[in-house]
This record gives sequence, C-alpha cells and structure tokens, in this order.
Amino acid sequence: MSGNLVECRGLTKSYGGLKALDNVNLTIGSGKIVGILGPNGSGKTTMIKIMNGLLKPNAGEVLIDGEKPGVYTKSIISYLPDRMYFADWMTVEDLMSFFADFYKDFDREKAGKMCSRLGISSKQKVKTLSKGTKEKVQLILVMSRHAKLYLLDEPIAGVDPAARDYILDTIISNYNTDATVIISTHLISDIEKILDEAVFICNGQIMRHDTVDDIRETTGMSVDSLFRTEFRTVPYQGGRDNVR
Amino acid sequence: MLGKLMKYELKSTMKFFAIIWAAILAVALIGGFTLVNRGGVIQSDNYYVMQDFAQTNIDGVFQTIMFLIYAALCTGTVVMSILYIVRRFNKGLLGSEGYLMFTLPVTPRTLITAKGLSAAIIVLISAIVGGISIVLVMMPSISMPGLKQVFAFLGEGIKAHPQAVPAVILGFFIGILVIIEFIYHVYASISIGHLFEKHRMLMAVVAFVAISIAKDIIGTVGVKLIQVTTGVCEGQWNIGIDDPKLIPFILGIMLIQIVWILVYHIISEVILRNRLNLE
Amino acid sequence: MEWRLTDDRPIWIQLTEQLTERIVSGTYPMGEKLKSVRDLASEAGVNPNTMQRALSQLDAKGLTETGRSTGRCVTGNGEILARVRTELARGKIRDFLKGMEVLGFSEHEIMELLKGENME
Repeated sequence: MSGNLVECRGLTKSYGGLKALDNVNLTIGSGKIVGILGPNGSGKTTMIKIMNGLLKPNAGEVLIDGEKPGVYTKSIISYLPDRMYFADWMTVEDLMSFFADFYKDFDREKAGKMCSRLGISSKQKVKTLSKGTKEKVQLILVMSRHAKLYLLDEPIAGVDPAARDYILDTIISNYNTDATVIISTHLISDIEKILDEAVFICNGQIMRHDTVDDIRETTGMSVDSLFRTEFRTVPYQGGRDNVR
Repeated sequence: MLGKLMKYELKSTMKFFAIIWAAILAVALIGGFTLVNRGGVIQSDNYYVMQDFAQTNIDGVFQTIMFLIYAALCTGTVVMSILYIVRRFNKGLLGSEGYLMFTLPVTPRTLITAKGLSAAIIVLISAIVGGISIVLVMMPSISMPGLKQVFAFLGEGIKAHPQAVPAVILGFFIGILVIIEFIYHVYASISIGHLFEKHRMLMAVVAFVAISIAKDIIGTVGVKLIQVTTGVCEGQWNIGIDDPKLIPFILGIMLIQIVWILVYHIISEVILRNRLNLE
Repeated sequence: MEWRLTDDRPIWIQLTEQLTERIVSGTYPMGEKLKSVRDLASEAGVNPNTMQRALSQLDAKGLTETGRSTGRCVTGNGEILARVRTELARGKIRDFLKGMEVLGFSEHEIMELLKGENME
C-alpha cells in the first residue's frame, strides 16, 4: 500500500450541518488518468481542495506522496481550479515568469510554444483576453509543469466543443507517464475515453472505484451509462481490489 | 520565496503610486516657487526664515489652486494607501487570487509577511515623499542666511539636549512600527471576518473596532498594573527630554508595539492556516 | 480512416481491432514505422496508457515489432499479415452468415444474393 501517490483515509468535511465528504477512503497510484465523477455538490471540489491544502478536513487525513498537505505537496501538485485565478494586471509573459519563479518544474519554453500556437502574444494583458482564451492559458500553465500530480477541477464545464477537444488533447499529450492526472467532472461521457480509472462520488461518499476497462467489460456499459444507473445504489466503501 | 512574493506585490502597485508620488513632488515644487518672496527683505528681526515666509503672498488664485491640488493629492495618497492595504490582502489572498497564492509552495506565514512588508514599504515611501514635498514647498523661499540660522539653532539645541538625536531617530522607528501595526491590525480583522460565512467584510470591520477597544482596555489595565506595582503615580509619568529614563521608555513602547504586531500576525496566520475557506 | 470508438466495450480492445484493420489493409504499410504512442493516442483522443495496451497486443500477435532504436514498425512478414487478414475475413463471414440465418435465409438463397450483388 505504500508508495501510492494519493491516500485518503476517513476524510470527512462538513459545512454547517451538511456533510460534503463522509468518511472517504481512496487510494490512487502513479501514472494514471483518474476521473472523480459525480453530480454537482457531490464533494468532488471539496476533496480536491483538501488534497491541495486549500481546506482542512474535520476528520481523517490525506497523504500526497506520503506527506500531509504542505509546502512539499504543493510543489509537486499542479492545480487547475474551476475559476480564473490570475491578477488582472499581469501580461501572459508576467504569468510565465511567475510560474517559473515559484515552480522549479515549470517548462517555460513549452508553455510559450503552446501559447503562440494558439496565437496568444505574451505581451497581452490577461484581462484583455476572452474568457475561453484565459481558460486555455491557465490550462497551458498548469500542464507545462512537470508535476507528480495534476488536479484539474471541472476543466471542461462551460466550454465549447472545440475548446473541449483542445483541452482533452492537451491533457493527453502533455501528461508524463510517471505522473497522475485527477480530473473531477460531472460531464462523464466527454472524458471517458481518456480515463484509466473512474471514481464515482455521490453525496460525499465513494460509490465505486474501478478501471474504465473493467467497467466496460463487466457491465457492457459505458462509464457514463453505468453512473446514471449506479448512483442511486448503496454506497460502496473500501479499497481498490482490482486495479493493476 | 518571500522576496519573490514581494517583488510581484510591489510590481503591481509601484506604477500606480509612482505617478501619485511624482505628482505630489511636482506640485510641491511648483507651489513652492509661487510662494517665493516678491518684496524686499525686512531686517527688523533676527530670524530671517520667519521673514522669508512673512513676505509670502498666498492670495493669488494660482497659489490657492496649487495648494488645493497638493492637499487633495496628500489626502488621496493616504486614502489610496489604506485602500491598497485592505484590498491587496482581501482580494489578493482571500479572493480568486487566493487559489493561486495558497497553492504556491510557500507557507501562509510567508504569504502574510510578504503582503505586510510590501504594504509597509509603500506607506513608508509615501510618508517620505510627503516629507520631501514639504521641504520642496519651503525650499525656494529659504535664503542662505535663514538656512544658516536654522542649522545654528539646531546645533545649540542638540548640545543642550544630547538625548534629542537618538530620541528623534527612535521616534522615526516608532513611526514605522505604527504603520506596520496598523497594517497588521487590518489583516487580523480581515482574517477574523473570513471566519464567517456571510457578511465577511462587515464582520471584519466589527473585528477591527473590537480589537481597537480590546487594545485600549489592555493598555489601560497594563498602565494601571505598572502604577500599582512600581508605585509611580500618574503625575510622575512626565518624562522630559533630558530624563535618563527617556530612551528605555521609548524602547519599551517599541517593544509593546512589536508584541502587538506579533499578536496580530499570529491571529492572521492561525486563521488562514486552519480555517481557510475560499469561495 | 477514422477512429470509431463506441461506449460499450473497452477502448483498448476496439483500438486493437482498428489498428489491426489498418495494418492488414495496408493503411499502415508493411515495414513502416508507426507514430509514437502519444501521437496515436492524441489522434484517437484516448489515454496513452490505453493506446499502449492496444499496441502491446499487436506486438504479441506479431503484427508489429519494436526495436530499441527503430521504434515500433509494422511487421515485414507477409505470412503473418496474410494469416491475420484471412482470420478477420472469416470472422466477418461468420457474423454475416449468422445474421442471415436469423433472417431465415438458406444457403442457396445466400449464394444467389451474393452473385447478384457482385454483378452490379
């Protein structure tokens, strides 16, 4: 069990009276693209925020590469939130300098190439970019790091199909096979093809954690179809027993 | 990491404040020249400097306008600085930008310190610019004999009261600490406001006032305690410029300020480390 | 040739089938070097791990060879290709015959239909 990239044990988080996460146990290894799939409000974003240190759980713990969330884990996690997080006044160039300054694993050349391929000039101020372009810049910066864990929170929600393909293609072609990409989304059918494993989460509980291949082989359904039927069932607790 | 954070902090605002500072200095210089003595020099007194100003003519419309602009700029700088302090912390750490800041490989302590020191630098430079602007206003009007008199006067003063120089220097540092204390007071208040789900800014204001009141109460109680334990009554608190207790007293005040700054920082750090809840 | 990926079966199996088709049909010519795993995955819009698994299947069947410095190439062995091609054809014929059986066609009727189809 040691050597896993992400380990959640008994993770619980409440807001007021509501349990966003309820005793979550989850183990994720390296070199995988994993989807955390669930409807809105199921706890996906909460779990990701706890993994990258933006939230503290009420109970339980998460270990990233064996360490509690802190300076080290933040240096190996590349996080893409579901919102714009840049200071308005910066230019694209400034942003790249910023990332280069704080993250040793940032590949500035790669980011620059990806931006120019999209026709984005580095001298442009971030606030002058369209919403779609801003999202792509953010994605480029995140994927240009050679991180161990990529946390992408709803990367394709509210995005037009062409941009979505660009995003999925960027994820595929940029992730390195020693790293793990965790994508949280409620748009399952769109990303199914690129996932290795699927984690179903509903009402703060993990319902299922399987490889996509196993799901299709054993149920004859797509992950998306399975999810629609499954998530009404009794929650499934426990570790991963059939992942390679 | 701290330096890098501060570099980005200052980069964003220096441009803006630089314009205001340049404007203040320019207006001060121009205004200073308009005040220059146009008539003859009166020799009845020994004090040339006073004469220089006695002859000044501030009735002119131009001078009045310059003065108003100058006053507006100074007030503006003060207001801008306070807004800057509040905004950079509230928006830069607890707004959307927080998603970037709190996932950088730095501790919350470093984040807070970077904001605090950057804000202090901006305020400090503003204060220095303000001081220089006053000198600029007076400069064109001061004559050489008048200036010599000023220095002679100062020299005598220092000889008579040797503690004056260190006292003034320490006073300058107290000024800096006052600025930093204010900044951290704001930060602690905003952090406390962040603990609430709704009306965060409102609660921050409440916290600000509450902390001020608490500080006053503790200060008063502290003074009373000292009086009771050392037997020094209120009337004996007057420490003159030659009193040997002066320097230790000032150092004591600085120590208390530093303690309060640490308290505010600890409050902010503990809250942001354990109860961060960005939305 | 487009990649046709459906939802109900594991992707790696579908990729293996379609890569095999491309090889036996000559779309990927004999002896030619294949694109990298990453490029193929990007083209098909799938996870590189999945594409890797499919490609390993091709290696196992002998349809491709991976050299240390040369990368992955389509085999130069015509026999293997012919054999696989025949197997695939047989599979398709079996499916066809099964489908015709369901519709109730006799062997003779099927032959007539096929001849007629060929004349056009």
